[in-house]
Amino acid sequence: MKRVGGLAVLACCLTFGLEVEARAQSQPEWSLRAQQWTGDRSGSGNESITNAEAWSRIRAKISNEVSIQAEGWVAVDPVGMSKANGDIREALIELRTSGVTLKVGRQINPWGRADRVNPTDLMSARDYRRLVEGEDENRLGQVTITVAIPLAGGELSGFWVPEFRQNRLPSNYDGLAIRSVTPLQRDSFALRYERFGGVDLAVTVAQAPDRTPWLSLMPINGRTGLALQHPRVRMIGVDLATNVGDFGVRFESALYSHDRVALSGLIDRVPRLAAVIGLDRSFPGQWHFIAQGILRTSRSVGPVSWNQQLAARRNANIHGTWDHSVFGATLAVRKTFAGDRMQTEITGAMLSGGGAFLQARGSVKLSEQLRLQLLGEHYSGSADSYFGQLKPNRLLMIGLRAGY
Amino acid sequence: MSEMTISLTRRGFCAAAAGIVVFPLEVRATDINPAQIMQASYQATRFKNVRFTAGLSLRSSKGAKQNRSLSGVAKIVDGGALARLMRFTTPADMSGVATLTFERGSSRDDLWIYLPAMRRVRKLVTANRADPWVGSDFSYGDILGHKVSDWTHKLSGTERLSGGDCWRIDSVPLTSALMRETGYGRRRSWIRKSDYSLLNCDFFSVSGQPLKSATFSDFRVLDGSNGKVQPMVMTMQSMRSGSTSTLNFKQFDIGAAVMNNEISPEALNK
Repeated sequence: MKRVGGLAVLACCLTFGLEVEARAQSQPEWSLRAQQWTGDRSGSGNESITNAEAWSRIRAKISNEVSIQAEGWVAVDPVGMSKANGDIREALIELRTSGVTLKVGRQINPWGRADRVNPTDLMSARDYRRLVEGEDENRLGQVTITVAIPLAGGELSGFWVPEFRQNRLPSNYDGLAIRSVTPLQRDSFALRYERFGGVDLAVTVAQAPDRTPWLSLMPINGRTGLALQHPRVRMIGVDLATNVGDFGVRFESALYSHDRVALSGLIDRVPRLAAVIGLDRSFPGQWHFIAQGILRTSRSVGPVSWNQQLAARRNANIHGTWDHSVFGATLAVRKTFAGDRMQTEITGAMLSGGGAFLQARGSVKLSEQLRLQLLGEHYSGSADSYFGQLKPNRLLMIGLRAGY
Repeated sequence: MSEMTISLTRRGFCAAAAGIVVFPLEVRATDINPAQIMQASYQATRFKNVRFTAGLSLRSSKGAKQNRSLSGVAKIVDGGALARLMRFTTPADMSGVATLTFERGSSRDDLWIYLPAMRRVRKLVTANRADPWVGSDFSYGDILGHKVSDWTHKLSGTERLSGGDCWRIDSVPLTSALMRETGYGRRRSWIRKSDYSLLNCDFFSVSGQPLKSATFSDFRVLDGSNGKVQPMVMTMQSMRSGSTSTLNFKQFDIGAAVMNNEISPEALNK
């Protein structure tokens, strides 16, 4: 979205929200955030970034059957490039009648039950460059039509996503002339059946352009050039959560099939299966532990010529296909203090051959409306490792947040 | 059943609600079945359908206050489980946070939470019922309710509180697992004789140390014919931290039906 256009739409949305507020007695909610970062997520070398953001959201019931929902933000420097920007994350109307729910408009539909690593979360997009404290705050909404009906004790949802928004990655292609190719078939479809009970379970089938781009070779102006393409990917996935004794058990797995028509060269493997299994448990004193194991396997499509190996490695790193089988683990430890006044969390992750990641977060409630936030991230591994390439730096952040 | 045994029939409830003395004044403590008293007390605040709004006030030992408001629905669903969905409306950083509890007894309970930032419904581990409910001094176990049949009960005496004459009953978890899950080694309850209302409850740790103390007040007879009474104010004080949480019901409507799709995990984010 163009910056000016985005800001205009956001202004309209907020104005609309205020108007709806008058009719539906629903207050828009605000969040004001100010942060100081020691770097950006693109490894540009910029060592001091000041960012301020204003978020607003509204959820208003127009009648018993109709409600609207919107959320957007504006920021003075959201990715550390000294450029202001904004985004409408959600702006949708929801109709509910006789068990059927219809949602039309821009919306965020994250899938999966594992902690942070979600193989089934195929269709939602993120801006990984965003300087945000929470992992879910970098999500990008997309125009979607969702229909949900009750079925066999659960809910069957159908999704049509005519809008395509790609995952925005920190730039790793400096100095290369790369063309970004919008997929010819931009829309995505999915069916998801979800049921809650002793075992919470969801089965998802989806077909969508891969939100994460692939570096490819293609004819550009009569010559072979580099392009970032988004091949279609089909997925069948399952995610579940249940309790076994003192433990919460979470499992999530997806099988992928990539359309290779749009991909030529630079790729020797595509993802085939990803699975995450995790256990979580709490201990007295509000200690909470989540441990997960990760498996990713890939399918050969190569071979790649020797002079394309470097570019192929970049694809492999981003898509987790540098080996036929990649193993990994994550561990998160959370401690909450009385009254939720203070929260701390340390998360570590490693992937075989992909480096490691450590993040520490903490927040302290200074008053009813104001919270002090601290964040530190450390990535280890070479520059061409998964973590090294996706976020090739170390960061510290101190910030204040008012509102939500 | 002896004449000393407490009748839990509808007739007994009606009589109790009407303030009629249903038990001989000279009742000997050993003849009273404390489990039946606890069951009557437990049933007295269970309604088929409820819609409510409430304020939740948290006060730290240093006097710092946080105020939250919420709305919710509760319903006795198929199989007799009590389901309760509560959604926070203020302040902004809590707005949209919703919890759903299904109280079926012991490990078959279900807990879910919806966090707007994640936009996902998350199943919580039932064994974590000792965890604070949204940062308050109430635990998830307190919100779920302590199913009478999961505890053993012993009448330890009678006592006159400002709210009326009470039975004092000590309850101990039947299993060590439940003791670990709730964090409670014992509860001491004061049940008002006239209407089975729970006036006070003290909670003790597994090692026997005082943990928390709950007081219930502003009782309203909402369904007298069925002996249903609701405390509009519930206060929980932590003995360890000195903090206090007060749940103050503003509205409590038992007349309107609650649909099943309003009180399901799918409803948490709607």
